Amino acid sequence: MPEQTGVEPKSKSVAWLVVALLLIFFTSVFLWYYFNKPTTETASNSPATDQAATKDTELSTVSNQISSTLEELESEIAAITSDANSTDDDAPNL
Amino acid sequence: MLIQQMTMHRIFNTAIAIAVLSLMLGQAGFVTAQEKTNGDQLRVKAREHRTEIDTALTNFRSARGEKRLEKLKVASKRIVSVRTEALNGLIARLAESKKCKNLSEAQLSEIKAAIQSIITKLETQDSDIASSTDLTKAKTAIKEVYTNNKVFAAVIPATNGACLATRLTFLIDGRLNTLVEKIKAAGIETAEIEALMTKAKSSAEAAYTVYLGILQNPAAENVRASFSTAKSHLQTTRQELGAVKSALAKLRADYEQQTKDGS
Repeated sequence: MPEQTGVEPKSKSVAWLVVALLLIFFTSVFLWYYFNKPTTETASNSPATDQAATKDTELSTVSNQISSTLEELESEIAAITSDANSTDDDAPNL
Repeated sequence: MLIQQMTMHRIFNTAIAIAVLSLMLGQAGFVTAQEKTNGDQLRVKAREHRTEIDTALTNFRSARGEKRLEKLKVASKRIVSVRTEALNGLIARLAESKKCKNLSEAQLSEIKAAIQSIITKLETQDSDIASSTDLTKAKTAIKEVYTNNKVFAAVIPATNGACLATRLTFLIDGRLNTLVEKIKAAGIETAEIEALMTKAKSSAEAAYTVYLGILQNPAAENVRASFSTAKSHLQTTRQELGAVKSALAKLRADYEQQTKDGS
């Protein structure tokens, strides 16, 4: 009987330890969820925000890019015209 | 509310299509810095050799007696080789240059054939001059090397023009057309843009035809007028593409207005 009495407090301690560990585990899980949930929501909104910003940026460059293409076209036409007026094929006076 | 949402959705799709268009136009890449350099190289070479040819001609003019024909043949050799080298370089460039990458096989073939025909003619003229024993006839033959081939004033610029025209056709017919189809699929009216594209394409094709005609007969009397005609066609293409740009800008403005109204 005295031996049994000596073991009981140890079992209690182990039980409390297990309870404490479980409490810490579940508290950690809760806290992780609590602090990560808003982050997740922000993350789910982020693509939409980014998309809108990207779209706006891309749209703002459309006119400039087409203008640039048209300017290049103009400069190439000018280069062809200049070459066509070259005197390199004028026969020399022999 | 539902109608407004649908409109916003369509305009959003249009906006995306426009954004893709912008990227594609960027990728159409008319001229890179390297391309500009490569394009200029032929002109630089012609000028370098011009000095060399001028020296050879000065030697001919200062020569006397039988030496005159001999010196004339030396100058002639260089006058011809400068041209054949430039034309061979041009053929190589057709295959390598990004500027000419949109030429179809058939177009590439007809342009190469025209250039090759000029090279063959130059080689015949070279051979005739080299075997000539008559100074007057040799002089006439050398003048014809210049006037009958017009390598620098017609063949090279006409080839560049043909490449430019096909790039425009490719842009309109391929990428631009694909994007307009996407815009149309989003329920946006594209008839005006399509009409502008048709005009632009038609003018670009007309320019190509004129440039090819120059290549096939660079000695024609109306070459300068042909260049003016081709230039006019390209300017029409440019004008129509400018109108396409304005139409797309209007779509963008409409989108922004709708966004403001929706918020």
